[in-house]
Amino acid sequence: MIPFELDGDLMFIDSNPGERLLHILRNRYSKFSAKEGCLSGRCGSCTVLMNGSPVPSCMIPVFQIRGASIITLEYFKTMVDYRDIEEGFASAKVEMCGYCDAGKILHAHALLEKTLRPTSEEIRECFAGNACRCTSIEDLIAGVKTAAVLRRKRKNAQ
Amino acid sequence: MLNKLTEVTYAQSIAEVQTTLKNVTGITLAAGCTEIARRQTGRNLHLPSEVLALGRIPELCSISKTERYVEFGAAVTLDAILQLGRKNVPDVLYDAIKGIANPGIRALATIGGNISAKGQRLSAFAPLLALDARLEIRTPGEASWIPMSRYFSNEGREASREPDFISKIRIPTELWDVSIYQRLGAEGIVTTGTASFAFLAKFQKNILADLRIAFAGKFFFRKKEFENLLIGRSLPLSMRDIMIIKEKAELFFEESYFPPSLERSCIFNLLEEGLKTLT
Repeated sequence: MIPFELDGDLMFIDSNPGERLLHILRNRYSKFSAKEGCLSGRCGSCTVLMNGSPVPSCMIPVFQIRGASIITLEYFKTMVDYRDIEEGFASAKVEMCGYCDAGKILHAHALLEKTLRPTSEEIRECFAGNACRCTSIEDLIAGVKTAAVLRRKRKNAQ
Repeated sequence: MLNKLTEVTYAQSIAEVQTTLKNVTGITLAAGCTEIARRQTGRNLHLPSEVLALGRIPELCSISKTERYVEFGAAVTLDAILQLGRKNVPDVLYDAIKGIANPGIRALATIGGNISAKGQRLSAFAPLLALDARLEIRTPGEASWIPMSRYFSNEGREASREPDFISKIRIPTELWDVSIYQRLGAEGIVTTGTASFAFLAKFQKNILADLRIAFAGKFFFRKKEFENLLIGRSLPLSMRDIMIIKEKAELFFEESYFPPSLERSCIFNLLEEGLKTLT
């Protein structure tokens, strides 16, 4: 049995050690925000936060999650940090087609955790593993910069 | 349902890894697993029958820095290295790691996995070879530090060698006046055409005080004899000097070792580009 934390709850899973985390999330826990895409870690549609870092869940054999904390987009959307990104993206008219949302939102969050004043270059680099066809990178840059402003304001107010 | 074909052991300490290596013949060490995953597109990942997971060993995930070198545990992720910033990582290695895949993969992939991947040598290999990195190698019975160039060979591993693993990578952090990293092949993925080239140079007044040239792809090279031929030359080099050096290089890397190929041509073109920075 492999113990791990999924969206704040302790779970134990008995599985083929080579099963991809992506399929575990979708088939056993009905976490459908992680989508199956390239299965090679290049498209970003299966992104989850593992111990706080955005990672492609298709590249993770389930034995690797022992003791790890996994956060899916479903759970992240209930957190206060999501509000900044949601508002920032909405103000920049970032399209949310549903397929690449997990990659866009969780990578944006990870970048804002590192810096609250991200440069355009840093934002481009952060979305390097996201094959998003619904939004232009310029809109994403504007969205993340607005989200950064909102998060700065919120942190200052706290 | 548990797949009985793969047995996974979670090591908690280096001593446990050494003991397991001694007792379980043919066990495969795994940290980031990106090397296993990138080669497969099937529903499940096919794992070796015995896997020893290393990702939870604190010593293998630690980073330390002194005035003269930076030292990474073999299971330190590439992302963790980038987070140290350019100030703490030699430029040539930083550039190499920044060019690897994407941030998501870099959060999983480890430096130890990058240099010990079988087959095609990956991006960090040439920079580390050029930087004279040293590896801490552990066998079931002992630990020793050896230069990276001595641990790896183009001919492959000797069958008789005792099972071992890389536990630490020590990289000198001296400053270089010229630091060039070039990656060949498609961006963001590893193909048979992927290779990396590192060129480092140091000046003292108008003299070339130190020079390092390394290449890694299907095979790798670093020839100190060739570098020594150039060290001590007066700078700036003229275009004529560069052509003479290039001709010498072609004689030096005998054809039998590096048969004519795209890679061979690339090496000489990259060497020329590197030398042009000294004009």
